[in-house]
Amino acid sequence: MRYLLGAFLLFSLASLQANDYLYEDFSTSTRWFVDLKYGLDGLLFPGNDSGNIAISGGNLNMDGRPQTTDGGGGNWDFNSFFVGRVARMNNTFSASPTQPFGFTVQVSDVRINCYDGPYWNFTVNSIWLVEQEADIVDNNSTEWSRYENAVFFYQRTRDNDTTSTTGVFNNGWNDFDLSQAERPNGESMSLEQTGGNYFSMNDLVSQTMTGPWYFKLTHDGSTVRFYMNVNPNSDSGNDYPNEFLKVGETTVFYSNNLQIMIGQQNNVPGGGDANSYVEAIYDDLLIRSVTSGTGYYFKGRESFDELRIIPTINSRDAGIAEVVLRNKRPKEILAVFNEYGDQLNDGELAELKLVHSEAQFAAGTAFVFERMNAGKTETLVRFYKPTPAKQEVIQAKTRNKNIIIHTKKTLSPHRSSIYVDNQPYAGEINHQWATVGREKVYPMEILGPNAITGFIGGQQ
Amino acid sequence: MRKLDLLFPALKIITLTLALVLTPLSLYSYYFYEDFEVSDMSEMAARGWWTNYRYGKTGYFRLDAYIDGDDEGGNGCWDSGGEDQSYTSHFISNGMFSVRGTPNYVRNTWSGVWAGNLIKLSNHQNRYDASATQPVGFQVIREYAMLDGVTSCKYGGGGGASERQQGDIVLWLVKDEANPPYEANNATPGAAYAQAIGFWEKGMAREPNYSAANSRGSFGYYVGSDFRLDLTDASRPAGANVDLTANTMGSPTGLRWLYNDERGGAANNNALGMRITHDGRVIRLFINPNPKSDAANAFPNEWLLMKELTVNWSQDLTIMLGHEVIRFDQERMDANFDDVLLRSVSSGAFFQKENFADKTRYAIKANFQETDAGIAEIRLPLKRKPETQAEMQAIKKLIAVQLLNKNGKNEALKILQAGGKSVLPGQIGMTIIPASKLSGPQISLRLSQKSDTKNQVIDKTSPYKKIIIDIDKRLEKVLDVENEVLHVLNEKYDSDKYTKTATTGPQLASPVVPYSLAGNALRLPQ
Repeated sequence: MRYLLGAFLLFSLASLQANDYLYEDFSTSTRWFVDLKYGLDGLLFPGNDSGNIAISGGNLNMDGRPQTTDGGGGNWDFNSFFVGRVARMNNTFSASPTQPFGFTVQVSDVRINCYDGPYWNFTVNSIWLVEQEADIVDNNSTEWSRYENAVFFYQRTRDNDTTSTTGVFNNGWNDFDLSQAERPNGESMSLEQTGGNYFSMNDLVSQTMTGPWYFKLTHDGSTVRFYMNVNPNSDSGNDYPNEFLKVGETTVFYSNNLQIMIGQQNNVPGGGDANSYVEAIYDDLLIRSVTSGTGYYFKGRESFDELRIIPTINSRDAGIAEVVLRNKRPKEILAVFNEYGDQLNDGELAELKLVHSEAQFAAGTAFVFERMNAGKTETLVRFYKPTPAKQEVIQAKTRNKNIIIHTKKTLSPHRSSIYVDNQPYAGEINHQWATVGREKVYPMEILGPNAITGFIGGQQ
Repeated sequence: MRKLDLLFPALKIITLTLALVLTPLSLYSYYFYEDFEVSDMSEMAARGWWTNYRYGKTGYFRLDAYIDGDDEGGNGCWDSGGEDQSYTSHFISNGMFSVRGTPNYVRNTWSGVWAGNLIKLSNHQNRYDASATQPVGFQVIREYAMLDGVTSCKYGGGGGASERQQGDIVLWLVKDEANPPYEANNATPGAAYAQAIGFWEKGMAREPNYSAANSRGSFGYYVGSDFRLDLTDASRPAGANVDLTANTMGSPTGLRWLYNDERGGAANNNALGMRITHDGRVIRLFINPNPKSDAANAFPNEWLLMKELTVNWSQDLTIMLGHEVIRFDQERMDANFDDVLLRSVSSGAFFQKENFADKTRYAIKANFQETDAGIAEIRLPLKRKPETQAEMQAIKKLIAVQLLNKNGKNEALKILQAGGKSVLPGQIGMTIIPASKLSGPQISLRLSQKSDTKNQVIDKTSPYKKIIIDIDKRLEKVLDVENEVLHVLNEKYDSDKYTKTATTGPQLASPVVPYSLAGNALRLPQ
């Protein structure tokens, strides 16, 4: 009976999944509406612009600016308003804690220049996440139409400033403090330290952000987070780790019908195209989930609590490389079992050796450490993955995908929120990482009280 | 042990139970009224207002320092005042707050900055927290407006009037800050409130596509950037739709008034109300297109829902009121305001739910201050909207409503399908309120609000203290009684003359659960 119930649970898990995978190499433009005249102040048609946004040569390229007085038009109609041009992906997505959404995209050759003009004079490179609006179809849609639910990551330069600012627009411009970027292990790292102004992009000081670097955006149903990886190829001459450093986050109230847009904006048309423009090249946009849905249950043993994590993973999923337990301390983790404890993919779970320092992290070990996140303690259990050929990630090809963690007995084991993730850490190369951020693991009780009672209540 | 000793514990429990169940907790409510009945602006500070507060959408900018005598446009229009231009000013006139001029006629350098001049309610004395059980709602009456977005001496370098020439009058709801952007705090130019919404009426010019239609005024809101409201989609309190661009008041485009005097525009003397409510999670914007029941105005004297926005800020709220421009070549953003009002429904509303074999009973009562509007309406959530008239009739027969007076006597009320229309004392008006963007469909049960003297509103001085609603069990297929979401209201309906209405929108009633020996103690309101 127990096995029948287990089969029911796994079947139910599989039926809950809604998995995203998408890779865009920009070899064609079939997924995109490439030149939508959209900026912060809406769908605007200045009639005179020097902007160019195109998918060509295997990239998404942009240069020029969306409104200008150069070229004989002399059009100041939208002076003071943020006019833009974006490439909008046709696909729509949804996000939730158990199936978060996120993407990475390569960015290079960013140059954002703004001339010495009015005080409130900006040029902006922007990556948007909007909720689809039926009224905004193309450039024949009504002028001044707006995405009511929209946020965008920005890099902007103002009025002849010699540095740009980076942030998120969500009901206002919110600059990030790049000196406080956050590594996956929770440590703080400054993105302003290399070369003094790594992200300064005004050509008046001859600084161009050549890259390539990677941008990541995640959405867990209520929070959008922004990351930058400024050393994606583990360049030894680059001081930064090959990691996605969190630079900021913002709360949103929309999570369905999400669309990605990438583009440029400016709000003053004067000053000459030679002095005001946004240039950037985008490539390799990727969406990859951690799993296709993962459940868990706790089982009380005589001297410990047993946490069993049961994922569904397909070949396009990144798989599980770390487990996060909120409100737990490392000393509460007594043992960890997965398919690779004995370094064999033989269908039997085996115990991993617990280590508490990165120096001891090796094949057959689980690296258990603590970090603070949003004011709460959480414990991470990482699996070894230095290279694609040498890794112990729980993937589609893993014969037994379950993970078992023994923790100290507590009266309320269910108070621990549990997540799985797969992201790059310094020293690791070229993995099939996830792009969506941590995925919440849901309690399997939701599948039916009878099922779970039978499953965890009996003697195993 | 004597019998009396045995009785004491039981008496204590009974007394405590009665006290908790029958006596609503003493809570709070909100009331603020500003009639601007002062001799001049200097008296406003004592009434809690900052004046000449130079805040606009872009943040805090005091541009006086930049008036330098330069003639930016080369045609004598700026710095000296230009054609019909004057620099921003505030004053009191006939018991109204007046704003005149433009907060920027200074220099092209500051184009793109939304420069404003406001009055702000606070000095940190009056801040409000919004919640479902005690929502906040401010309204103001615009008595006069002349929002001319373009002066005839348009900036020469810009090719004439266009979209860029805009200005507005605005009612702000902001989360106040310990150190708000203000020059006394050495605010940097552009320092802004992190959490704010500006509800505006805008005057705008446009060229080259410069027709009368698209140079008319518009309404919208600012949350980091401007969003326009769809004036054709306004919802009355009872749910019916109104097109506010309909021809009335001498304006073929309704509230979209033609202000631009270069295109035949003129000042607008029609009164109009603007209201912002906040229930702790959702901000709602309302327009009252006819707050004085002007017979020449075809629009109803009601507060029409224009927009709902979910937010994650609800504490330390205050308001600001004034005008703003985004450039320096607007002609004027003039307005007179009156009657700023905040009034709660009650000082805490409660309901007790009892289950019987054939019905569910809600007993609703509240605490009141003199200043509270009182309860004139109850709304209950529907699982779905009734589909047929026959179903409506069935609902009417399966609900019973009684008022309990202070002498403990019940008065059964006759239920009518009112559709938002007036009912008499002794009657209840039943209306189905359709779903909005953020709220599901509801059933409204409205007491008489016929007039200030003829009504059955339950308030501090009314003879009625409790309303009892019996819901037949058969109705539970349609009515959502499980979730215990019950709101009390006191809205202005066009059909009624009752004036002491609330400004906060629906107030969530809190469930009161009888004390029990099992430890299921009183559930306090949020």
